[in-house]
Amino acid sequence: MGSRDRIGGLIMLAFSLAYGLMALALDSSAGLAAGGFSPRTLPLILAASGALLALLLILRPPPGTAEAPPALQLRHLNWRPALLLCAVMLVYAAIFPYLGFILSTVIFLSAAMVVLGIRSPRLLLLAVLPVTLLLWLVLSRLLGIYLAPGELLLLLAAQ
Amino acid sequence: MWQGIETGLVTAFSISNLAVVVVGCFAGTVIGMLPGLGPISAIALMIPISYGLDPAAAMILMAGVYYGAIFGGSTSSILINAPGVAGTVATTFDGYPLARRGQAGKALAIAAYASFSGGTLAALLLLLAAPALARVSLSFQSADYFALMLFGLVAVCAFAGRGQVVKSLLMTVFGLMLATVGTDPTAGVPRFTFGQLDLIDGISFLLLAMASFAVSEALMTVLNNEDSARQAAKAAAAGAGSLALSKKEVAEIAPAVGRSSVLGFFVGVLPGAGGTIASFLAWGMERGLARGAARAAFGKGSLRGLAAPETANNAASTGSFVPLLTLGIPGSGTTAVMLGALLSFGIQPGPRLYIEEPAVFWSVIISMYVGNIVLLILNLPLIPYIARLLAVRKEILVPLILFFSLIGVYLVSFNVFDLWLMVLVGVAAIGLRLLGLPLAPMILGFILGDIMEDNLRRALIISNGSPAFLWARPSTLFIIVATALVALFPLFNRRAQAGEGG
Repeated sequence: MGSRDRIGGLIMLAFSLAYGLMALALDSSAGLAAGGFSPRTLPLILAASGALLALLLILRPPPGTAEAPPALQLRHLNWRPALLLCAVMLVYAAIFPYLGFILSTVIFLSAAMVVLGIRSPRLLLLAVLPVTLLLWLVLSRLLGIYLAPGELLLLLAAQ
Repeated sequence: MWQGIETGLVTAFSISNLAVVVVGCFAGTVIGMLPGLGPISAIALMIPISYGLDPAAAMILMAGVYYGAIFGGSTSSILINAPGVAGTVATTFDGYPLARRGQAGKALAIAAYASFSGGTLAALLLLLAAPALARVSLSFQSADYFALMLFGLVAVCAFAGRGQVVKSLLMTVFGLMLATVGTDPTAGVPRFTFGQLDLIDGISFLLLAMASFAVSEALMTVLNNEDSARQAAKAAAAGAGSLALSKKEVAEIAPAVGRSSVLGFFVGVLPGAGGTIASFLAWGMERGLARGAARAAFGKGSLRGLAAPETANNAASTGSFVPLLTLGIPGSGTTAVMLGALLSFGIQPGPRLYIEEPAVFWSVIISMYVGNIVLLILNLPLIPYIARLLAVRKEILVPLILFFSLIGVYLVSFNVFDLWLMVLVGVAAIGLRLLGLPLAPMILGFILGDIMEDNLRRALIISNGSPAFLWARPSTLFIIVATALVALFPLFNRRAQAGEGG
């Protein structure tokens, strides 16, 4: 238990110190007229309190509570699908501007479901297409939100 | 005041707003029932939709979703022993044993009646307390607001529970740090943007809320490989049994409901305490009051033991609106997300809200009550059907939740950068979860960050840069002393517990 808190404390300590260093680099002259309050006043206070609290967590980790979350056994976690899902989300962000809403959403949802173990093509179609089309209809037709069709499709259409 | 109530009644009972309450309660119930997704996720998922509504309707929607999510959490607690929300953990103590005895219907009915009564009594208390508090807080200045926010943040951490105080404080500071990203309001200097134009406006609160709750909660269910769908399918197939209660049973739970409502409301008003603590306290109080066989039944399917936490939980949710609406200071992660939504509508909750936007102020209070009625007459009979939704496979549900989160954030900014940032924040949130660092204080700090810096700056300008503003006015001094006392609370508590335990 304690070691987990120490790791968390160390990470937050490093974060606070980096944050504080960046805050020191901020321009402090801007606030001289305003009661000594400059853009770096609050960040510096925060960096100091963050570092202090992180040190406290490292030096005096709280006693373990009786109901520790079961998520602790890192090795027993289902890492593969979760990481793959993150990758699929990144792919979605990458293809979205090029393929547009409908195509990229169909790809995203199908890929995510395949990652989680759905293999039946019929089920995939049934789950993915209605959601995508319905949402597209609601957004673009009902609410009148402009969803860019995707640069790649525009290029193809222009030729 | 009466004029305001009248405006609020007209707004709340307009056809469109009634529809919004119904939709909100329903959507909230469905989302709240899904294990892993709590009210913060439910509300965050609703925010993109609420941008299409006027502010009053948006608040009403979110209040409905809040109630629905809590009720949905009770449902999954009772049916499959999987509380979707921390506030309904105490519900499993007696609710699940009842369901296993084939009395799921009765348990659900008690949960609904108890929530309804708790919500009703608390709404009445809110009706009395909110205007009075709003009037007092009208005289508040920047220094008081700064002190109040400090109080709220410290209180959330102080009541966080054993071993969690330092971690909560740390995460609050972390949230405040994240809030400083973007252009600084004093001098217009970009801070912590790494030269990225996309960060000039800061991190969007919706993005942070969605990524650290909806996305990371959905991914956590994958990581933990939780599969409650099969269990839920079994529970749904088994049927719920009768919903009816006998007169004797009503007489048994009525006093418990009354006591727990008042307790729940006042616990809810305290920043940081909220539904979870209220429900545990109420369950403990009723067990302490019970005698003989009634006491022995607690934890084995006692009706009182089920009614008490359900009542207190709902009363506390209503109570938590008091500081939000009157002081503009959220007392919990959930109300913090609501504050964020209100701010993006250009509405600053607080004493001014009561004067300038009476329609919003009162219609929210009245709609909360309407929400309770909706839950009772609409959701309760539908529960067996909604429960089947629990049987939807995770393989389909998780991608859909991820998709709605991503597209919800995209539809507000229309900026693909936000999608990249969301994945990054989602992964970081999972890391924090695995390290046991709580995320609710972070979101609270993030949302209060800007307002806090603003008030601190103004207070410092007024006091000419001297920290004397902290004790110059009696009201500020009072709040600062209260903050200090609350900050010391965990120490006393530990000593008291150590003394008790020997």
